[in-house]
Amino acid sequence: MMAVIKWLLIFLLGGLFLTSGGLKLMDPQAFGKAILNYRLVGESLAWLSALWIPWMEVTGALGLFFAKWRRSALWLLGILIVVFEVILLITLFRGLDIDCGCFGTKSATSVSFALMRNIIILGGLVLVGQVEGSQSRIK
Amino acid sequence: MGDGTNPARRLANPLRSNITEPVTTTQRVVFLACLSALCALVQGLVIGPVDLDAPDQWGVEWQELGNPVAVLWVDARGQSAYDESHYPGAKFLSLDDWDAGLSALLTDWDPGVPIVVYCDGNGCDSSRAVAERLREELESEEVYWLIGGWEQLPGGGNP
Repeated sequence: MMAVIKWLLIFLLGGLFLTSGGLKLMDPQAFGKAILNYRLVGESLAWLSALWIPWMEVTGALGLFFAKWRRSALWLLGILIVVFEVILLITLFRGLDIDCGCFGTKSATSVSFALMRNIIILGGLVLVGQVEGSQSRIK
Repeated sequence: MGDGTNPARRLANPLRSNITEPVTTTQRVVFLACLSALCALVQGLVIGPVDLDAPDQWGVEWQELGNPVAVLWVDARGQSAYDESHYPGAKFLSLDDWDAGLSALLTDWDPGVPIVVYCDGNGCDSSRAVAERLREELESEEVYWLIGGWEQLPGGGNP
């Protein structure tokens, strides 16, 4: 039963991060502008992040599907989500009304909605890690 | 995170055990991050230099609008903000309730009249998204979004 839940979550989370990363990779300029809208970094750093973050999402998502890489992928994606949450919290406190840019710029998502969604995603990552850990202990 | 090697085998061949030192989770995380950085670098080189500050397509400054009265204004800030205050004559249109908003807009729009969409300020993106969709659905070239948004309207957003 736990294995079924684990794989269901892996497919859900993997698909989610692949979609998110893929959409950003298709239009990195738009994602770079979305990062600039947060008013936290300059143009160079925004462009660097716009290129790097989607690839981390894609490699992390792919890593979830391979047992040897799963734990590392969970850590990588978990760190990314925590960083996103901190940035979104700062944005919320600053009262900026911007699109989060989480899934490219084709689908507008508010910062508050993205904050809640990321908590659920982080919960999913932790759950996969827990199941993975308990299964390896049994083995 | 155990080291995964058989102790008996390690005793039999200590040199081999050193060579097959297992990769730790941290090393794999660093590897994934570096692999991503490499892919990003290649993509960056392929794309070449970009100017993220360059104005977007179909963005228009307030000063560029010759006669703001001859424009159909569209408010894309959100229903509550629109109800509280909006530019005189502006129609509300949101991606969330597109069909209802579009029908109301079409009753007031004469083909040929330019449409300018505004949202909150520099950071908001809804005006661009609404303008883009209006261009597609109305098949009109005269749909723009206001650079700087609500804050750029006369009276600092409270005309």
